[in-house]
Amino acid sequence: MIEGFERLGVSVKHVWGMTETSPCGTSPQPSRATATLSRQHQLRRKISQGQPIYGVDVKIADERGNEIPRDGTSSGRFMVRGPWVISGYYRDDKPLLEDGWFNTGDLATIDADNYIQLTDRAKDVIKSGGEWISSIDVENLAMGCPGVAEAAVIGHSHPQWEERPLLVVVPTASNAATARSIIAFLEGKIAKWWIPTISSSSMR
Amino acid sequence: MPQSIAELIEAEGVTVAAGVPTLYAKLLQHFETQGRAPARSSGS
Repeated sequence: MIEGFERLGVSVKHVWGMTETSPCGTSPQPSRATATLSRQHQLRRKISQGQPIYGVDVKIADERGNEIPRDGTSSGRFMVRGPWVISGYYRDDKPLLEDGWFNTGDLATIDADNYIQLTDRAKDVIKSGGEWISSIDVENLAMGCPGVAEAAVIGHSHPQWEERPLLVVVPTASNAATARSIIAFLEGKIAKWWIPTISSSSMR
Repeated sequence: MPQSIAELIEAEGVTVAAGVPTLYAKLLQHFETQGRAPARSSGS
């Protein structure tokens, strides 16, 4: 989507947030260092969730709350804290924070420059043959496929693999994608066993 | 809905807008279907 707008001469600034962070939490800040990177690397930063904005602290943690290294590849529960981050839900006494940190429900990696990349909603991760498939990665790729207007990936139960990814697509009105064209588009961009089954009401 | 937003942007010469991805996906699709970029306002 960002690439599409930039092709039209519209520059895009990406902000991550949620109601619970009222709402801005992180954003990629253009910097001199970024300007020296290759176009591809710059785009990667632009489509990431960016860095925490002033006042917001972030970390990724394991199930017990131990911080996970910011190496750009290890992923963990994405947690935030700050003055405009939620402390509890209205009329709900259940303690919400873990040591002052709010668990966003997202999984993320953070790199050495503090760039955050959400990898999935914790409950949307698909487990296939004992390995994880990121539904977001497949969704984002499918959204970039010509002829796809909307895309969503869900896990459906499978007798052999436990779960398999199912890609649900709304094709564009003209030059609509076909199941075959989407698979051809995805091939080589993701591992073979991540290639989803494709479903569409108006697709052959 | 994307059409009325596109018209508003062009008529009012809007240069900055904030919104959620769902809205922008529809807007991008609108301009791509038309095969053109949003017109720049020539106003003041």
